[in-house]
Amino acid sequence: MVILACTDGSATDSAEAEAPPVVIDDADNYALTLDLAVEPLAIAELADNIVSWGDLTTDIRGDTMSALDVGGIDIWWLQALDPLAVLDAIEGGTLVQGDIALDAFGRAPPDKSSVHLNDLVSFWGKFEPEQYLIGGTGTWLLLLSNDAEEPVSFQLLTPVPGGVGEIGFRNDRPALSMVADLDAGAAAVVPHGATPTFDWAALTVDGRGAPVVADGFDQLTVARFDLDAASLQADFAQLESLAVESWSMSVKGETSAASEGLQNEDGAAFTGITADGTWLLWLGCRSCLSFAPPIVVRLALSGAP
Amino acid sequence: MFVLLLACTDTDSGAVATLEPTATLDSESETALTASWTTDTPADAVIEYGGDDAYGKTVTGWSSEDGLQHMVVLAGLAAGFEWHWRAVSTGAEVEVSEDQLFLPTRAPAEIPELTVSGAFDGLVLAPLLGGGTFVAMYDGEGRVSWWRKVSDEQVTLSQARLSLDGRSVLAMGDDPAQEGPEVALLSYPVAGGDATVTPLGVAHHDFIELAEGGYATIQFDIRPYEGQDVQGDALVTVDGEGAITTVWSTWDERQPGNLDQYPIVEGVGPNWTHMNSLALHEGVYWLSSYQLQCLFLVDAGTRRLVGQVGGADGNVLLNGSDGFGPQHTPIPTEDGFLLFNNRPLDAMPLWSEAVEFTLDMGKREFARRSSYDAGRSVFTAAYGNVEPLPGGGQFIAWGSAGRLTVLDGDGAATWEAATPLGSAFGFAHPIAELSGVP
Repeated sequence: MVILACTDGSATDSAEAEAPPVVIDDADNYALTLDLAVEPLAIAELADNIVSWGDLTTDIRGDTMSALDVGGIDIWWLQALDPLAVLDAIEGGTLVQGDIALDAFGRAPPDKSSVHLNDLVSFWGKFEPEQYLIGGTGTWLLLLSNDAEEPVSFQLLTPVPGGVGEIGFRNDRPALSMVADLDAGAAAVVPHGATPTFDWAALTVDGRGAPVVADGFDQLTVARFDLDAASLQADFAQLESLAVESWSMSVKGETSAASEGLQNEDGAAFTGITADGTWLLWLGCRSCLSFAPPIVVRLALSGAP
Repeated sequence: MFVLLLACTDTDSGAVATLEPTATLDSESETALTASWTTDTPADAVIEYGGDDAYGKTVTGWSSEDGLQHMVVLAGLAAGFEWHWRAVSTGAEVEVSEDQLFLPTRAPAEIPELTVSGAFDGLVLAPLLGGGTFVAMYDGEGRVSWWRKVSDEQVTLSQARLSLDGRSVLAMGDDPAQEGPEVALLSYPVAGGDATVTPLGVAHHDFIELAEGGYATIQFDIRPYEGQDVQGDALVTVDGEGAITTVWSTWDERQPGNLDQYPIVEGVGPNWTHMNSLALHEGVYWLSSYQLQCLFLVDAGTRRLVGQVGGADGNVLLNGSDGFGPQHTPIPTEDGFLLFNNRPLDAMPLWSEAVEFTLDMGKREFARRSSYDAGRSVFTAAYGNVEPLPGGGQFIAWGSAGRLTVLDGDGAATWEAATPLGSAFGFAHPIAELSGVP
């Protein structure tokens, strides 16, 4: 009897056959037309202006909110971008930290709906608007976000001599319009009872037709809706809030993910899609300033009509 | 009946697979693996590793004096990816282990990954600004490969360095034993374990580890001047127990003059010098003053100023018309120095640059040799540093602009990295290797 017990040092194949991945490519993606409109506000340059949001009752997407829902305030000087270029960059989710010449941030005080700009701090210390709120070139962007760090509203500012001393946020400014066509792409088919791997390595453009890098997304979400595609399109700006159930996971640096890693807000794992309702998958960038996911794909159950 | 047992061989090298390493992970981030094994005869300690079992890279670790016990730390590998490794000991014969797998755990979502272009075969150690207080190590593809959480609070984390022995990451953070502004030097063993805390008092911005032990750093030195408190700075050394010795203060050989020219620090008074970085080269400390736009050169032995490069009272003068303004991190070189020139806020449009100067202390003059300004597309309001790379080229960290650049020996950018919105760097540094001796 000879006993041999060797390996060749390489990984052994799994004894179980795995289900093929569900491939997401450009042909599956929705089409999106997104437009932001806001007139820059002329504010007093080199002055400690007041930021107030007490009149806000809806956020930029049209969702009802309270002024006390505002958690964070950020102000950025985008030195090389004029207001139209800033709006283009927000529509495309393409602003990066390197676009920001000066920035400051702060938290909304409890039970208050205003701050002074010198309440904010920068990476180097206290933000001193009397020294740093420079006009003459580029655009300042003032962003309000909620405690989940989701954008609530923003303003474009141009500091000028004699400008106003208060930056007041209103429901109707900025104006966001989104027209989404969820039927523009083919549905990605998911086998019944399966929690497949989703593979999006083949993606090259987003819903607006702008180039994307497949490993540039940082969050994958799968959600179920009781509304049909047409109804979702009508209220697309509120997409996330319309979901009956949703599961998410971080996918930063990845081009595929095992869907069993998706979790809902209670930590329960995704167990596959059903024949009930409308199912969507979307890929997004949580660290980007944008208002619509670049990738949204319908999911269809195999064998479903 | 007989039983023939054949020992396994690695068919690629013909070495005998007899080593049985044990592997432990650091408990803090599960990104550093310590492999330990023994040999029956004296040998060395090497790990081969790579993305597959062809490996491709090696690192040498520690062996006991008798050459029978071996330990190697494997760290700096992109987290969330599977890595292959094996132990190799060469003595009278070459012994190897079976192929092993290492999956460093993915970093928390608060630690950003970088968007990169080009190629860089090294690591970057970066204190992170925004998104939580972490110090992280990145590979050339912008992936997190090692990290530590410095604080649960959002605090300013300006500087992190690899220790001189390469076994620890040093960061300046809040002193956990104090409730006030005092900071401490936190030393995180790469292989895992509790951080060592060395109090630094009211230090700020920067520190260096001293070859003889302890650290040098900058502390606020607030003194009364013309009826009000004025914030200067002092260069101090701190020993391992936290005993602080002042080497030199700006008050020793300079006076603020007209206080109206300085910004006010809330609760203190005029911010006179705003020192922000230091270096030690051939017995001379180099101190950067952002506010005075100069470099103070202080002899470590005599504790006296041996030169002031630039600024209104400078006695090492600019030869030419292109000097520097508010700046960070002078790095002495063979015949000059590198410096990150943030440039002043009143020169529109705003842009920053990395500059190399020549320095002739005999003639008491310095001159611009070369610079890189990214096409004047980047302004760094806070921090920023540049340092030479072994074999030529430069590494530039653009601080609050959240960008990194590697230049080749001809000054061309060969690698760029960028943080997402809301994240940026303190002083970041290139690291050749994180693996090795525990």
